[in-house]
Amino acid sequence: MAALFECDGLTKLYGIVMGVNDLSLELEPGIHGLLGPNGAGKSTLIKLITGQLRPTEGRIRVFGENPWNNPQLLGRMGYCPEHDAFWNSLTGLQFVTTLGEFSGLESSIAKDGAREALGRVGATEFMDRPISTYSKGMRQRTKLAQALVHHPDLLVLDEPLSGTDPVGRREIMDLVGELGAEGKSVLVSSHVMHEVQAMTDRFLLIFGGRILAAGDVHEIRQLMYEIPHRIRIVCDQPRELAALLTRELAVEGVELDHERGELWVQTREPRSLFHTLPQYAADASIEITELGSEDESLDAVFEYLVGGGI
Amino acid sequence: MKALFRLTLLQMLGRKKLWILLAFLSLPILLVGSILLAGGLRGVQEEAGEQIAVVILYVLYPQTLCILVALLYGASLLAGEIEDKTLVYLFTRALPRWKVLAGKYLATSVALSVLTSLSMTLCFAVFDAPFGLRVWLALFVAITGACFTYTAIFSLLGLLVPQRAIPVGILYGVVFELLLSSVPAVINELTTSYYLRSLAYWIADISLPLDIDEVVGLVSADPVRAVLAILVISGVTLSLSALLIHRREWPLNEGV
Repeated sequence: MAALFECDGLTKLYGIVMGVNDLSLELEPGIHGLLGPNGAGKSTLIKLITGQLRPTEGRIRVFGENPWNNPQLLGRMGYCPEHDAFWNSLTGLQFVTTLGEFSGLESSIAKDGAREALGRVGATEFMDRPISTYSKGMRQRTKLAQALVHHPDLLVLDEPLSGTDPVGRREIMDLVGELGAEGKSVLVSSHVMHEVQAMTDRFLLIFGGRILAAGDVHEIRQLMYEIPHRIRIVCDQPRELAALLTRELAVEGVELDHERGELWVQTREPRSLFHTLPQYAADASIEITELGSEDESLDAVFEYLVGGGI
Repeated sequence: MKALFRLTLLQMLGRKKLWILLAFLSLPILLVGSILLAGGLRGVQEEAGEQIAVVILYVLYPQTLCILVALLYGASLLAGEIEDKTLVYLFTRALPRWKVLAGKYLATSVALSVLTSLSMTLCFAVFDAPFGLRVWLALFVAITGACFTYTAIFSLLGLLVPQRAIPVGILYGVVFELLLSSVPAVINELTTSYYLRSLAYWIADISLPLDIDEVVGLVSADPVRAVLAILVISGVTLSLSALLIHRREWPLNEGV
């Protein structure tokens, strides 16, 4: 089975401005989050994947094929652009049907497909109204439906949650999960970490046109071994536990939050700490009620990476 | 292709440019109506007969109006999609780029031909002269040929100089298709107008109110050569446009 996406030395320049810089990676089918702040190179990478741009240097393959000027391959992709663009005089149903026809579907099949896709994104109610009357959220759902109408193998969603209300957000996140469960691959870009984290645990972190890290959040965390983890412990005797933990080699620092009764432990070997912590607690009869590592959140990893940590 | 054809027609109807097009198309009717109201046509008819009226219609439509309407829409065949940021939907589907061009070109050319012919037919009726079906047919063929050929030429121009397509197109229309094509010498064979005029003259089968020596240089292409020339001009310019669209990266959306 061909990789979902692979590139080797992929570089895209806009004159002297670097879009992406010497990217080499391979992604397996599945749901992947593409994360980075505005201007990081996400859109350029997406445009290269969807055949809108030609690499300045290097090679890019999607399902083993070059996407540039490759209508057959583009027929296997569904692309939901970030920007708000429509043929406003059309209704949502006409818009999605037309794009289904552009994807090679017969007119009647495209119409059925459009109804189905609009139903999946919760747009049935307003699909017969002209798009010019739609709210931002309705437009976002319609844009998503046009990417689904021809049942593509790969969905490329550029900031799909932008402009949606909390309910819409949840529905779109669930839809991405459903598509993944159906065996579709999804590449979803965002600059909001927790949104992507709710859809997948596989990420590409991009900044300055370069991939900073790729893998699941734990793998990324593992790669960044030198990043200290901060572990939060809530227990009935924080002072006593703090004294015990300072003797532990894996622990680099301990902070006590008297007001909240929390203990913050800094370590580079969280697994070792998690292994030994129950023993300390049992020996000193300390009751631990909460235990968590905030650094496991993608936010922390990303902040560290783009903050010059590597 | 059918969907793109339909979409392009809908877009033509939905844009403000439609009002400019309708204004252009109503101008000859208003002009002829004014001549009639002023009683001027009666004088013209008495002096030179229906041929003068035919020349007026020919100069108004295939030689002037068709150039203007083709420039109005041909130069922005893709520009409208770029402006609205909708080109991305056309270039990221299972649709070869040349088909996008072909679909939009065909829809635009057909719509312009139909609307311009309709205007000419109204003008024809307003003239109230016994021109006959052959003259109408000659004008219709010339208008259709002009709309298809000039739309092809201006679509290429729109791709080559998108920011200056309108002034360059007007310059081309005036210098090439109006002035140069009216020179009774071999040089007019470089213009589309020469072949359209020759074809129309052959179909209309009328004598023109000019000295025959002058007329020969202006309408001397035989019909087969005229048709071939029109097809070659359209085909070459469209192929070049298709090549440009195929090779170029387009500003489909914004952002890095």
